[in-house]
Amino acid sequence: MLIREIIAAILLITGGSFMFVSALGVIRLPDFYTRLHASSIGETFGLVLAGIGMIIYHGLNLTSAKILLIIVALFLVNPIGTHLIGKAAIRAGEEPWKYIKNEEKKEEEDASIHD
Amino acid sequence: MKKKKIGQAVGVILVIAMVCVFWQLIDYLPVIGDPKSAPNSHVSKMYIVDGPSMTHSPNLVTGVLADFRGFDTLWETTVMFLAGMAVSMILSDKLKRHWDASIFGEIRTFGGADVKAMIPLIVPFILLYAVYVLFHGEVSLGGGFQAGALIALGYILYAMVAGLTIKTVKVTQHLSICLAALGVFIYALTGILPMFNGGKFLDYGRLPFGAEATAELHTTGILMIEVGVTVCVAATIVTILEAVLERKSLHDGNQ
Amino acid sequence: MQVFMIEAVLLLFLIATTIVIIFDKDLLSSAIVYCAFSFCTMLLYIVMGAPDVAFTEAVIGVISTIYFVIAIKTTDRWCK
Repeated sequence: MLIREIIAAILLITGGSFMFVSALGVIRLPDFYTRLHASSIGETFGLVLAGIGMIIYHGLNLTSAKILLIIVALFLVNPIGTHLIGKAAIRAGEEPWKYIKNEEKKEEEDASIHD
Repeated sequence: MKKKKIGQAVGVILVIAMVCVFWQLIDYLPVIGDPKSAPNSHVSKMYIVDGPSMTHSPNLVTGVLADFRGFDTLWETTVMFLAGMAVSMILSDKLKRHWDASIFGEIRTFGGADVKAMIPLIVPFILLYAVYVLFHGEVSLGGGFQAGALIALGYILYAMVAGLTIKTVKVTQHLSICLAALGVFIYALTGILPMFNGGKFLDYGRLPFGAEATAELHTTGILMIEVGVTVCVAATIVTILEAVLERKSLHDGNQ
Repeated sequence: MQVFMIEAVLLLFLIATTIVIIFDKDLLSSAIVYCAFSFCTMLLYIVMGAPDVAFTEAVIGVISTIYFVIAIKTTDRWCK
């Protein structure tokens, strides 16, 4: 195994783990805006890392030039899409999530039951 | 409620019956990858060996689609045009004719940096890529259908974000259905032109464009029909979009 | 062997997304999962060796998802 292949493998695995973590965040986070933030940032960066890994694997080639163009295009387009989705959510009236501590929540529930 | 349950049960039984019927029919087909079956021994071989030289296009898929089966593709294009026309006819509403391309109600555009700077940065590349895919359909992947859908995507991006209040070309559904008909017309024109020169319908070898080599005539013929297909597909997608966006609500009457 | 594993995983994803699309009461989420279904189909076409069809499926999947979302906006969002 050459050094080039080892570095490419490390970069690919790192990119993949970034994407996995962002996908996990999309499932587990509580609100729309936090989920949007998790999906956009993690995935874009994971894609760039995986793309650089593929460039290193192929060496200086026409294939690498094409992969570089794809990475640049996606790096520009993903934040635009995220920005537009966020703006659309504000226009539609989606409100951010408020964090209620556990004791306050119990007090609220007790008050509503006694009423 | 009982009728619904009976209907669902009948549906499930029908699906299982059809699956059983098709399971029996699988025995009559040749095994996948069997080198001695009839398609694999002579039919595919003739197409793969002689195809690129007979159609003069290195991409065999485009060669088969546009040259060997060009008549098929003409009717595919016509079906797309008919689908756009049908949608336009069903969804037209003579009473409420206010045209509002933005699906966000009264607010017309998003405004901000996205519309003024970012989208004009992306859409030219989408359109350029569409033209590239169209012209290189014979050599690499692509062809007419993909190019037409990409052009329509550029238009949809502007319609979704900017509401078309920026000074671009406003395409109503009547104009775009006429453009779809123009696409089919270009295709049929390429079919009729060889007949003036002593050939059959869609016979690219006898196009009346000067006495050049057969390879160039075939390439020219394929390019012309791909242009026709592109125009038709792009116009159909835009027609369906405009027809759906024109109606504020698709409930008829009772609401 | 590796190709078989990729195809098996993709087919399982396909079945899972199909079940979600059919049995979900929220039509808007069904439309978005339809986009994922189209993406899985596109990957299957690439594995089967048909890149032309995969290209077309990628573009048409986006366009048809847009149509579905527009149609859901003008009619009901929740089915009974």
